[in-house]
Amino acid sequence: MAWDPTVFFAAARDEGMLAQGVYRPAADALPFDCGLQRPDVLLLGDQQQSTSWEIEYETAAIPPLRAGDALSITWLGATRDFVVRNSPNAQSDGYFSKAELTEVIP
Amino acid sequence: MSTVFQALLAAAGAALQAEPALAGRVYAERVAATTRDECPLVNLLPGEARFEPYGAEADGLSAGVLRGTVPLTLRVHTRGDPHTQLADPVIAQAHAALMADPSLGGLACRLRLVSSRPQLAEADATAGNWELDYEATVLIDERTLELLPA
Repeated sequence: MAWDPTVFFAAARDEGMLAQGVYRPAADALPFDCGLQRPDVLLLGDQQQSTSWEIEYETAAIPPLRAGDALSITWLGATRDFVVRNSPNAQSDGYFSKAELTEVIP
Repeated sequence: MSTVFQALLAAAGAALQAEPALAGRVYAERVAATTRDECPLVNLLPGEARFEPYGAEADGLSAGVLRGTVPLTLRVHTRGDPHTQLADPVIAQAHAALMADPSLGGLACRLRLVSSRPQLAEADATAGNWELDYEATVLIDERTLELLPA
């Protein structure tokens, strides 16, 4: 049986493993599902601690992300605002992409 | 009495702490990583000091007075963009606090800025460290490492 990433992603969503994103640059906010990772990292010779926010999503679910695009991500009942830090990286065959984010703190 | 090293760090730290704009944001020899919420902050660090015989003792035949330069590094931590605009007011405040009394309370002959090094890293809001290197010129007692009046 051929690998079908759409089935995999839908199953993950149905099991509550995905976060809910909103692509906000669109004229009408565009919802999408994504996996969310947020490990902490040490930078500048371990002198500064940062959070490496990253989402993995279906590349075709939203328009191509550009650095500075605004997103909202809801995970575990909390919604946070982000901007895209860099151009996304397509994964493997390109069906999924990963994008690093910077949290917008008012 | 403290040695020259601790005495200068303490005096510089006190001068920085006394600056209202830096209140609660001054650390000495902090090694724990800083977080986004804590920035901007300043961290005062010691460096490699050098000494040589001074005055009548310059023949090196007897213990006496040493003249030295003791480095103090002021590292300004920021998060966000643009780094230079965020760090600049902190640098100005910290430098003014140190140079308000370049003798650091009569401990040093002089204090001067010798170099600066900005560093950046991509992060959840750009991480920036800006190091300012100062040198304090001092006279010390060779036998005790205590500062002599400047």
